[in-house]
Parts: sequence; structure tokens; C-alpha cells
Amino acid sequence: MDIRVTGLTKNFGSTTALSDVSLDVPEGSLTCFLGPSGCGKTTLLRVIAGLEEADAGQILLGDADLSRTPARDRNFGVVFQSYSLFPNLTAAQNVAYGLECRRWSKPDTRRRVAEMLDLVHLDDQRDKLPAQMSGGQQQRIAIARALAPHPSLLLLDEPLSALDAKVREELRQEIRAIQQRLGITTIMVTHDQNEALEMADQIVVLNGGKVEQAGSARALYDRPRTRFVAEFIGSINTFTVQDPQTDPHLGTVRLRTSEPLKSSTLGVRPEAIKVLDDGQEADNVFAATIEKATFLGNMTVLHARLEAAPDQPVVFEAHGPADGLEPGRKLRLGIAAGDLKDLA
Amino acid sequence: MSGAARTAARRGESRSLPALTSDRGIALLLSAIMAGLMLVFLVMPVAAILLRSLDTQAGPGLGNFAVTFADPRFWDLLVNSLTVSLLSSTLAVSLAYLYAYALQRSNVPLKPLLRIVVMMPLFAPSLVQAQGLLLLLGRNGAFNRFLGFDLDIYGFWGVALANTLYTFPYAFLILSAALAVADARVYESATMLGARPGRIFRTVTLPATRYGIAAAVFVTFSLSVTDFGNAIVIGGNFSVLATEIYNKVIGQGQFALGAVIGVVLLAPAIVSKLLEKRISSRQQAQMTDKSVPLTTRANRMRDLVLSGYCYAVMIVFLAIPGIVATASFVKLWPYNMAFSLKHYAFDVQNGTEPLWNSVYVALATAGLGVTIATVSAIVVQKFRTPLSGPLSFLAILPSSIPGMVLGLGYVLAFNNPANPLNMMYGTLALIIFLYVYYNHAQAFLIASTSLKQISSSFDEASTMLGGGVVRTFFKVTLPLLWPTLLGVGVFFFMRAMVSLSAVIFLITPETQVAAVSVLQLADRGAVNQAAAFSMCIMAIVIACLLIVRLVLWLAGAKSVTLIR
Repeated sequence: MDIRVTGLTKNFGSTTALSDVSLDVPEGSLTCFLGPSGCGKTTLLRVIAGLEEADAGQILLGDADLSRTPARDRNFGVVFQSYSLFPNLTAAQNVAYGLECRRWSKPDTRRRVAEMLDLVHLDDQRDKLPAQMSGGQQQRIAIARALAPHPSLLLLDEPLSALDAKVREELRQEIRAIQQRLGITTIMVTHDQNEALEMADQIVVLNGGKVEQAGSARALYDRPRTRFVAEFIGSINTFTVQDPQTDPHLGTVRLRTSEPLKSSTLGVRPEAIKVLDDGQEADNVFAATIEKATFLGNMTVLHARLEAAPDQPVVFEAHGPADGLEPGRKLRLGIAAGDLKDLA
Repeated sequence: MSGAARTAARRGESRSLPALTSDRGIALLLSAIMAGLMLVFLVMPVAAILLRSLDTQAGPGLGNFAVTFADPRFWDLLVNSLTVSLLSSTLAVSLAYLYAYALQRSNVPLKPLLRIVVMMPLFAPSLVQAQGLLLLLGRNGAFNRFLGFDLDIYGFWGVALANTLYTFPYAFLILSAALAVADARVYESATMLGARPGRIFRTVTLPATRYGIAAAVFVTFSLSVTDFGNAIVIGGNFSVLATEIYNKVIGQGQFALGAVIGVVLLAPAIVSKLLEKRISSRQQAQMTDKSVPLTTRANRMRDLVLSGYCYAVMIVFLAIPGIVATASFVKLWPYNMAFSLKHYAFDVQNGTEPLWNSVYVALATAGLGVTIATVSAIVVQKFRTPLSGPLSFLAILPSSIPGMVLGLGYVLAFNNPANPLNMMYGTLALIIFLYVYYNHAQAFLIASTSLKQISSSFDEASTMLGGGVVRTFFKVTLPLLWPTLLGVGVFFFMRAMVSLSAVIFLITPETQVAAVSVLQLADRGAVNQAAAFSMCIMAIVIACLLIVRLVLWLAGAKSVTLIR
């Protein structure tokens, strides 16, 4: 069932952790809450889980209002950042814990535990204690434990952040595969944009306790609505435009945009900036001087100064070793009208 | 969210689980029970002391204080108490510092032995120190009788020395912990800057342990100022405030004046406790996760000197129980030194009954104490109820109340026909509650600390899987916590076996306990039998420690602290 959150507000003392947060999590999808640390994403997850109580707002599962349902009756599975496997119980006992709480029969429990351990490929670790397993194995047991009681929603609180890079990579794919196979509605909190881009059907970008923008990875990258989103997902050049609504100018150059501008902040992705050959034209053309070139192997990152607006530096990329693009070189840069993004 | 908000968020996480609303009933019920017990067995006795001290024949007023303060004898006793406690505190802390330094920072051989021997005073009633000193240095002591000395230990020096020995292990435990952690990088920097060992000690070691030193001074001082066993046995004509309460109450039945001195004794204890708390709260964060633990380097000369010191101290701490043991096994100290077991027949008073009373009381105290301290800790740490705040204050209140004062409060509160619990007066049950609440603060703090170390994410994980508080406690918390709780039980057991001053006023012929028997036998001059009784107490305490250590060892829990 869909999860719908409306108008959630949560204060800790005088500080606001969440302010009027509303969002939808479609059934069967994986939604990522993405944001810098302290943006409220973990608080939002905990409020949805029932581990924190919101000051205002509703949490709906389908048509049922869960706002007053205690955490333990919500039937949500949670995987915590620090595994939090019970250290005194074996892998199998950990997985069985939620089933015992629900008074499953012994044979059913045994069957379900075996099934879950098989799902995370750890059937051979069933009698090990958490301390005897690696971090990645512990986190997989934690996933099995959360999934065992057939939760209606799976909540993952930075599940990969305590693992080293290689294990993280593996587990990312494994979590996504399990999620898609079971078709379970899932919310994952992360501060890692790559993780969100790779795994999520929907990304909800949070900042300062508010939802900045929600949408697919593609939508957020192509059509960021705010400067924060544009800068948080990928990198972007931002320019201040004069007279955006009436006669938009960047320095001395008049701008051609696909839609009328609303704000004075304009964003351009580095890869949207093209070096023009002689005689080649574009919607917007700028004369520029290269100031710095940083060779990074598969590409070269170039810093340049626009003649039209020397106080607004620009960064763009050239693929492979950029022959002849050394500092001091003058050139022409072209940007298509559709690549100028209006940022609030 | 700002830093402050995140701290608040984290505090919110560990302090409460709003999700447990369906367990709200359990939380409220347990909180109410704990609060009720504390009101009856802690607040009421303290209130009784305060009220009684203000109760004069002319109605409530400060008359008793006026009478007491007008008496020059009171000021003599006050000076006596303060000087003797200052001296023994200074001695105990200096000696224990060097001893702890030797054990933590040098390579003296046989460290485990050195460590356990100086713990001996904890295994026996405080007055065993005075008993042993008298057998060594008293009129009929070994030195005067057999070695031709002419020493007079009775009085100021006797009390000072006995209290030094009695409080040494407390100081040692604190200082040992303070010296155990050190960041090697600071020492290496000092060495590379050209500092010699003496300067390093003055500029690095000493400042890093100053909070430990302050805490040790406060603890030993308040133990000395409120101890009464040593002063009564070895003090002779030298009296202190603690013995004066005893005389006023037991000797003359002057409860109101006793209560006044009780209030006076509360003051230094509370002040030193508050200072200690303030100081220890600043002690945090000396070690960070980047610190490099200090390793002891070889230094023959240093080790030789420190070994000499340690073994000398060890001999003193062995001599006391040694001489007491000897006295318990001879026909009539010091006149007939033939071996005899007759003093272990206990054909006096109630025979061995006080000993069994003590074991029973100590076991019951351990069981009840662990339960109450753990439940209090859970109520304060895990449940957010309106009672949590007051409970956490009351839970650590007893640490500033001298045992003798609390005991007197129990008499005043429960030996009162108007009290519906009056029937508890004169029963072992009341003594058990006294011991539980007298030692509640330390047990509560141990339990709370362990609970805090069990990550709150276990509670949350259990909740999300559908477990209630009771299930979480028995399936997760208790299996992780039981070794520590067993340690807390041992702590209660030991204290109940050896505390004297707390129960001295509550004793009736039917509820005699072993520590009081030692006092009465020593008072009557039955030196050998008193010694035998002390030996039995020590044997029981040590047996308990060994059994629990074995249980923990078999269960694989080797790092639990049993002696506190």
C-alpha cells in the first residue's frame, strides 16, 4: 500500500527538525531520503517508524491513519545504521525474534527463518553470533530479520554507511534486487547521492527539515527546482542573471532560454558547456579564457572566465586529455537554451 | 537542524520511546512502586531526623541546636572529628596514590596479589582495623608484650591510623582508575621536549589525575568523619561526633540531641559529595579515540624502589587480618598462646545466630537490592514518566547520607506507633531495606551506566519487530546485563555483611547481626571471640567473592568488577 505523509512537523525544544513535510511513497517503490547530515531525514524516518512522535501531521498507510499507532504495532521492518543485531542471539535467533513476538508456530518460524537466511545467502551462518560475523554479513542478517515478519514497509536508516566501499557496492545491488523481487515498499535514508541515484525509484531531497524536491533521479538531475538540489545532485555552475523576467542578461550577453526565467539564479551543468569550433554556433555563445586545467584521466576539468561576466567563474569538462586547452587560451563556449536551468 | 537540535534528538532517542505507549501502564506502575519505596525507606527516615532535631519540649524550634552548639564539648568533638579525618584522609590518599602508581605505571612483580591484599579492609567491618591495631600496638599487643616496646596507641593516633587503613582501599580504587588511563603521546612529547621524570610527573601525571585525587580525598574524608566502629574500639577517651551520637542515643536515650549531631554530620558529607560530583563531571574527555595507551617501560631502579614500598604496605595490610586470625586461634591472647578452636564455638550471647542472620540479611539485600537498583535504573533511563526526574535525584541521594544517620532516621521513623509500618520495626526485613537504600546510590549508578552502554538501538530494533518492554528486557537486556548485575549483588552482599554504623541502632536481641556482635564482644573485652567473629565474616565474604568469580568465569564473563 502507498504511504502518504502530510504536514509532518517535529520540534526538539526550540529547534525545528521537520517542518510541514508532505510526500508520497508509491507501493512497491524504493524511495530515498537524501540530504546533508542534520537535514531531518533520519528524524523523518523515525517519525514514520513510530520511534519519534510528530508534533503535527499525519502518516497514512493506504487509508489507515497510523499517526497514533505504537511503533511495535505498525508492522514496519527497520534496518539500522549500526546493525543493532541482538549480540546475545545467533543469526537464526535474531531473524526469528519478530516471528516469536507475533507468536508464530515453531515449524512456521523455522521455515521462514530458513527462507530468509537463504534470501540473503547466509544459510551457513545461522548459528553464528553477531560478533563472529563481518559487518556486511551482520547487515544482511539485519535485513533478513526486518523482512521476516512480512512487514508492510521496509525502512533502511543509512544501512550501508558503516561498511567499507567494496561491501557497500555489493550490498547496494543486493538490497535493490531483494526489494524488487519481493516488491516491498521501501524507504531508505542516505547522505550519499550515488547510492540514491543508483537505487531509488524516487528521491526526496531534504534540507533544513523541509522537502526541497521529490522525483526520479533523472527528473532531479535534469530539472532541479532549487540551487540546493542542483548542487547536491551532481555539480553545477550557478550564475546571477540581470533582469531575469524582462530582459535576461549574463553580464553583457543577452540570454536565450527555452522558458521565461522566474528567478535571477541560473544553473548550467558542466557537461552542457561545449567548446565551439570556429564558425560553430549555439543558442548562447560566450567568449572565455581558460584559467586552470586539471587532468583527471578520463576527462579534464577546466576553469574559465567569461568575458561577458569576469566575476562569475565557470567550470566545464572536456573528455580525455584536452589537447591545447591550457591556461591563457581564449575560446568560445556554447550553451543550449534548454540547458539553462532556472533555480529558485 | 543545528548541532543543538541533533543533540536534543539524540537525547530524545535514548531517553524515551514514545512508541511504547501501549507499555505506558507498566512504566507508570513501576515508576510509582519505585517512588513509593524511596519515599518510605529514604525520604521518610531523613525527614524524621530533621523533624526530630527541631523537636523541643517547647515545640518546634532550634532549641536543640542551641543547646548543642552552646556546649563546649560539641566543639571539641567537632575539632576531633575534623582533624582525625583530615589526617587519615591525607595519609590514605598519599599512600594509596603511590601504591596505585606502582601498580599502574611500573613493573612491580605479583601485581594481582598486591591488588587483592589492600582490598582486605573491604571484606570486614571497619572496626577490624582497630581490633588488629590493638592486637599489634595496644597495651596487650604483640609489640608491647613480646617485643618489649612501650607504645600507647589508644586515642587520636589510633583512630587516625585505623581510619587510614580502613579508607585506603576506597582511595586506591579511585586513584587506580585515574592512573589506568593515560595518553602516551603527551608523555612522549614531554620527553622529546627534554623533561626529566620528576618534571613529567609534576607537569603531566599529577595534573591528569587531580580529579581522581580530589574524589579520593572527599570519599575518604566522609568515610572517616562518619565512621564510628574504629573510634569506639581504639579511641579510648578520644571521642568524635560519630561516637557521640551513639552515646547520646544508646547511652542516654537523647534522640533529639542525637538527631542534631546527625544533621551536623550530614553537612560535611553532603558538601564533599557535591564537590566530588562537580569535579568528576569535569573529568571526562581526557582520552579521545585517537589516544595511544601508555605502556610501561623497563626501569630497574624505579621498580626496585616501588616494589619495596608496595611490599611494605602489603605486609601492613596482611598483618592486621593476620594478627586477628592469630588471636582467634589461641587460648587467651596474649597470656596463653596455645592453639585452640574454642573461640569458634561461639558459646556466648546468641551463639552463631548473628552470623547466620548476617548471611541471610546479606543474601536478601543482594537479591532485593539488585532488583530495586535495576528497576530504578530502567525507570529513569528508559521510561519517560513524570516521576523520572525526582527518581533520578532520590536514587543517588543515599551516597551523601552517613550510614549512622540513616540508621537513626530508621529508628525515628519506624519506632513510631503512628507509622503504619511500625510492625516492621525490630525485624530483619527493616534491616534489609536499610542496607538496600543505604547502598542504593552506587548500585544504581553501576546499573545505569551498564544500561547506557547497551545501545538504545536494541530497544528500538525490538520495538520495530513487535516486542514489548517486558520481552525486550528478558530476551535482550537481561542476557547482556546479568554479569554486571551479579557484580552489583556481590557489592550489596559485601556491604551488608560488614556495615556496622548503619544498623547499630536497629539491632534487637532477635535481629543481632555479625558486625554488631564483633563490636559488643570487643567492647566487653572478649578479644579472642571478637577476633573469631571477624574471621568468620571475612571468610564468608571471601567465599562469596570466589564463588561468584567462578560462576562468571564459567559463563565466560571475565571482565566484571566485583570489588568496589
